[in-house]
Amino acid sequence: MIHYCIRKLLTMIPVLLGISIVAFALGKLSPGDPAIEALRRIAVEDPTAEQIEAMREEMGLLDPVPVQYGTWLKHALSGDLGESYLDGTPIGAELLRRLPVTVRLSLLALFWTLLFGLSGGICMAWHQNSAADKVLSGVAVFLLSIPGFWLAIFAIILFSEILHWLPTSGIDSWRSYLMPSLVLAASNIGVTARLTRGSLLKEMGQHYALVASSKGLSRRSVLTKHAFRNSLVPVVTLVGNYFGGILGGSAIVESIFAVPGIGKYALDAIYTRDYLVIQGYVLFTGATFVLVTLAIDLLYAVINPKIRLEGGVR
Amino acid sequence: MRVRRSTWILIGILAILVGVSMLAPVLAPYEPNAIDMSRIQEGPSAAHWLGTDNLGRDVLSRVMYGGRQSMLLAVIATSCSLLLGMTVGVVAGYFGGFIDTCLTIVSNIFQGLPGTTLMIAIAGIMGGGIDSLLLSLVLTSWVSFSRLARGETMAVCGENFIEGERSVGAGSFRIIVRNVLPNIIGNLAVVFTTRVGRAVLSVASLSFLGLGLQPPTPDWGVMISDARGMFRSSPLLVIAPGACIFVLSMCVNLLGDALRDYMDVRSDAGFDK
Amino acid sequence: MGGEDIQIRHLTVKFPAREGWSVAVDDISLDLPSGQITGLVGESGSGKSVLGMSILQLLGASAKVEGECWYEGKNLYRAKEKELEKIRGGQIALIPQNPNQSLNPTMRLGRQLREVLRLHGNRTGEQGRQYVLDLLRELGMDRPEQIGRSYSFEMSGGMNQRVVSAMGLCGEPQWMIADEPTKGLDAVLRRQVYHVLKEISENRIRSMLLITHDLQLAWKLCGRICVLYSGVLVEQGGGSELFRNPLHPYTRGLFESLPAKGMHPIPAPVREKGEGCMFYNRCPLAKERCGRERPGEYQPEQGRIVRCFLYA
Repeated sequence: MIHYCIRKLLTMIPVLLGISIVAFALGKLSPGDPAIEALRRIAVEDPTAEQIEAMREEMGLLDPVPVQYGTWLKHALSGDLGESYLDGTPIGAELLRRLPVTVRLSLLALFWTLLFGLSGGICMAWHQNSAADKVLSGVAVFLLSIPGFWLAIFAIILFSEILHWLPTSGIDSWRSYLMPSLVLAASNIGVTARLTRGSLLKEMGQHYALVASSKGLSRRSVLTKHAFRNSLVPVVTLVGNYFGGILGGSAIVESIFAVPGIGKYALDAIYTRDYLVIQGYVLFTGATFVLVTLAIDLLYAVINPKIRLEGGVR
Repeated sequence: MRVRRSTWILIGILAILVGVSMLAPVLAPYEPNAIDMSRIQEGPSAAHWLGTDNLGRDVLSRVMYGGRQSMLLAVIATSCSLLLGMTVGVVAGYFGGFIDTCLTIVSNIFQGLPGTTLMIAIAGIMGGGIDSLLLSLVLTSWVSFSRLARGETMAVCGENFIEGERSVGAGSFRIIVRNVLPNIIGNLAVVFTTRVGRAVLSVASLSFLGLGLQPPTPDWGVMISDARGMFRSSPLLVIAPGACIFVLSMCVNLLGDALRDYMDVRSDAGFDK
Repeated sequence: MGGEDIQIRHLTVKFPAREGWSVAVDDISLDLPSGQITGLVGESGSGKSVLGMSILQLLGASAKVEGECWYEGKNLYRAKEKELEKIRGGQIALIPQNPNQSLNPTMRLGRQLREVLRLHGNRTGEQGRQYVLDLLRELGMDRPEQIGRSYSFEMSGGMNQRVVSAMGLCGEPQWMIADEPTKGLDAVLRRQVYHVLKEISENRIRSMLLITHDLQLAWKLCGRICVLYSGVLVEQGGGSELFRNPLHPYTRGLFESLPAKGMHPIPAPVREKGEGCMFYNRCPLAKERCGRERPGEYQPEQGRIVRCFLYA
């Protein structure tokens, strides 16, 4: 188990480094000259060539790229991601302030995904090939095919404007999270339900399930006590991927529901060409995703004793 | 090979969607961008079956045109991802060792970044438009192809007949490609289909956010984005393009399912006991 | 009909195939007398495992089972699921093939063993634990205490074989169905399985159905042998007589392929179910009549039944 954890931690490092390189590269690729931007901020509207050159020198833009990366990473690790072009607020602090909102939203969406996805999948497998199975399969395909932003528009119209059950936008209470998180979860619920159904039916067809029935266990007990836990293995392996989808998709949902998370921050920054914010957003999202994936990997070890005891081949 | 009737229906619907989009210049009753300020936000009528939008443009014509770019983009981007992913996968699987480790780390990095995040960032930095959409779609989906190709290449390399063919003097890399492709063609088709479906949704989402195709392009995502605030007054402006995206993505998903079923049946056709 | 014997009448099992049905067991009637070991031998694909599994009704939803199977006054093929749950493991237990895959990889072995006690035994708690430990020890496990906390993938195939055997015995059934217990095992493990089965049959459960393609195992253990070919019962008889003097051409071919007699592998089965004898295409003694007509069951001597025109 300890072996497994250490290995997972070690594989995390190159991924985190890689994400930081991607974020850095995005910053480098962004249009506009950072030196001129910096000069504008100190009210030099029409800088001369010398002023620009001096500013470049000062900002380290003349150093070789790896050195620039190193400096940037050092700053980033200490939480300094630069300042917003727009109002000069430190980006790192702002992202950190907004991160809990996004994480809460994403985790809630993940919770819905697992709750409805797993129970839907179990229900489908239990009633295999019956009308209930077919209806739920249809619902699952519906959920995973519907564009999230389109669903969000309908949800707002129905639940906020017609029924007045839920607030349209912003974050005032837990009820504000309800609609965005469900919209965010929709497609993943469909995917999880289908996967769980398939996985559970596959496990029910395994030899050990047959042997369990031969001991006199009812179909229900075979499913709940034997097959279910095994069927979770492929599901949990993919939960990391789902969380990635949720975390990324949360930007869209945040923008529609005006949720003040890091995704909304990044999208607003795009419209104002505040490139450093986008850079910070990539870094933050990547780090969050990697950390949650790590947690899921550890959960995976709990479910699968083979990994817990042998360190696992894969 | 027996194709189920439901699959034919799917293919039929897809053919209609693709066909109408392709023939839009012929079929559409109006120019998609023809502004007519005298007829703003009209409901359905004989002249405008789906009504008009806030600039008096014919919604039906715009819906007909609306899938052209995103479908084309989705297919081109996924094909590029396939080529890139296959190349990387085969190279990694064939050479193994250090190269494989490096390529695996690179693909882990791309897996370590949520796809939508990367897309938003790329579109945000490069500005919206077709080239940034293409780049971000390829960067986010090549990994699923490379994994497939890598696994199969490693399996094929382990087999003996490769040695045999090598001893005859054939170029081993070409042999690998020739032996890998037939084995993964089925899975490849399934992954390709589902990826195209996702790409369609991604293009629509990004265009909706204003980071993809730009107005006044007649595109489903752009149309929904434009009409968002007008849902109460003219719901068709949101419903019609959204329904097109939804039906297209559902058909592609179901087609992927049908393909997978067909591959499954073929792989374990033998019945014992 | 009743009693402890298992009586199978006109059993036909079909599975849905590409076109129509694939018949795995074709109109078999068979008595399995209690108090002895009956061996069911045949090649893989002969339908012997399907026959065994049909008794416990464990063939899966796609299988179509016709006929009757009487045990203690009940027709098992028509029994309700609740009744079957009591019979499975409690009255008729299974020692499955492939022990490594017969155990749930995510559940500790102890729990899988105690599960049977909970379902069928009246031993609980410490008493039950002790009973399981004794059983494991009896089956030749050195440190049974450790096994309870282990998972199947931590054990060798031979150990798992004992665990599944013990699992079958936990419910103290009257009958045991051993399904291909030596399939895929090496010589050393086959010997171990033989000893385990011998131990069980001598001390615990006398009534047993041994399904196997391993003729030596059948020869050493079985009082009666039934030979299956392509879903049809071609020959039955007492174990030693049948081995000494096989009557059906198929049985002769099968026994000649024993390594001890020098291998004469039987040509691969041609699955053409025409009108005539199943073995017609491969039979060295086939006559014109064999291709036309299905042979009935003939009784050339006391206790022997053969499905071949040679003995008509």
